[in-house]
Amino acid sequence: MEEEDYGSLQNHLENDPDLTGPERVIADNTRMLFESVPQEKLPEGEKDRIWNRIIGYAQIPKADTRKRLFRLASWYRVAAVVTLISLAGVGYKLLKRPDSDVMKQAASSVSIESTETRLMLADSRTIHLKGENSDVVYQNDLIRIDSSGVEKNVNPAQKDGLNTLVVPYGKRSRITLSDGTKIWLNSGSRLVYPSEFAEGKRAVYLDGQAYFAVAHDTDRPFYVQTDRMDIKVLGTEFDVSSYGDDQKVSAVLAKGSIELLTQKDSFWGGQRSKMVPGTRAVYDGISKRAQIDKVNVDEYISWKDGYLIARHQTLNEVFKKLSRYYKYDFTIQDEEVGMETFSGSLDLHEDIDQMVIGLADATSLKYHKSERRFIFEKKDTPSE
Amino acid sequence: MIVDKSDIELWELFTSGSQTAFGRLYDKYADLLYAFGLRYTSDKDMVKDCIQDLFIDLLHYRDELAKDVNVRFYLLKSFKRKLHTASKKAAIFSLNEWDLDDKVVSGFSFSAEQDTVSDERQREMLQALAVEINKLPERQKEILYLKFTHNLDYEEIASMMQISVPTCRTFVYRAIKELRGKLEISTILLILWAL
Repeated sequence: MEEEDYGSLQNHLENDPDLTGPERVIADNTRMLFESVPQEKLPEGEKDRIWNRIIGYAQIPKADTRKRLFRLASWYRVAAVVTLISLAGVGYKLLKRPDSDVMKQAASSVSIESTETRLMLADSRTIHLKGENSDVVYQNDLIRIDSSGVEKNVNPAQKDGLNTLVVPYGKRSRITLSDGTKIWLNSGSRLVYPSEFAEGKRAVYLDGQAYFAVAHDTDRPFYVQTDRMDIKVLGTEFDVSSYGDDQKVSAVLAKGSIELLTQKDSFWGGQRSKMVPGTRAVYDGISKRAQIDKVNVDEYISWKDGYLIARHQTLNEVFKKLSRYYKYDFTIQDEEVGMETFSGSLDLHEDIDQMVIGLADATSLKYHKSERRFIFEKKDTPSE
Repeated sequence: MIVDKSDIELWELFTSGSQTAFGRLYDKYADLLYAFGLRYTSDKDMVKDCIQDLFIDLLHYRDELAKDVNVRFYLLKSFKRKLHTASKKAAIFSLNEWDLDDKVVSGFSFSAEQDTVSDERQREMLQALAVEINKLPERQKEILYLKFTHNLDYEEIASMMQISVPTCRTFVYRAIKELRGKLEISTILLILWAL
């Protein structure tokens, strides 16, 4: 007991004779601050699930457990992702800039779960876009769809009203805005934009992944706003990935220069960082930091041309991208296999079955298909 | 103190074979370890895997575990080692997202929650303090976190961060003095007066 008392005394910097009065106050407040920081808790149900697995392993003979330790059921991860998507937009904080707020609301008010790409105009007309890849062009107060001759008028009264382009999983779309900016939207993305930009500023809101080729206009900087990071542009080409189910928001810069504004909703204002071409910024929602690294830009933007280029990416990452692109589930039976890396280029124009055959070949895995799901596993090899 | 003692009681029961005590320990520590893990990495799945792994280890090595330990410290330290191993493993696969050299895998960052403190002036002061704490070097932030959030003593922190006890003390003092230097004298006086 005495030892504990000594420990606690020594532990209380607030009474430390080596510190001055103000320093002790600081120590006291620092403690209070750390104690007031909310501690993240295991999500509902997860605690029990982990417990059940622990108890489950307790029944297995000692020698076998080590191997099985990191094999978490992929099923429950899929469930977690689905939950995150459906929760996105529910518990979000008010941002300081009202326009971003309004755009975000517009984005979260439409569901990504749909079989068709939809264009929702400011005057509440909805246009359904057919096909895997669609094309929308704004030009001279007209909206041209898929260069098929279908044309819609921009409602003159709603020029600054917000439109939303919703691209479900399995589809892609390209849109040319009124200022000439081209945006390639990847599967599972929503883009909110006005029919015509106002003076002084061009702003769009993105949820998902898109490649931007921004038309140069020094007088009207272009802003891409996302849930957790804003990007300011003068004229340049870059990719932004901000999926609700990813912890991380990232931007990859192909040409020009962009500025990132992160920690949008922090107490003491956001942080700015500049990017140069050939780099990728990853903003981590938890550590609230943006890290900028040199990357092979192709790897991140090849999807817009219908390729997936991977350089030492884990199979888990590759499969995550493929399942967004094709709207098929990809499951790996063995957790360790998912951590193995894959390098190569996949042609996404290919029929999915063809593509999967090639992929299985390259990774020496076997698979079977059941409805919209591919399940990959190790080929049977003699046990260790 | 009572909390600590019942931890020790639970630990003793568990090491002598009680399943119930093991369950209670899990109940008490799962969330805490989760929050702790997320200070070091943003990979929630990895943190969950490590929690699972840690408790399975405890079950398997039950007979060999020391009876007389500071439970919280013991769990945090073992857990941190697990996280470190797991993140090193993950780093091989995705170089972009992990800092290989650093022990602290991702940065510490936190902000004062508004609703826990009601007094306006104190809140302002805490916010100013939070800004400064966020600017401290990562290692110093980590020490403050272990010290103030988890109430570890210098020996424990030193052992966990693989530094010497005097270095650990120096770090804490330096952090406090640095914070004091940064904050407006008037703010501190205000608090002194408020106390």
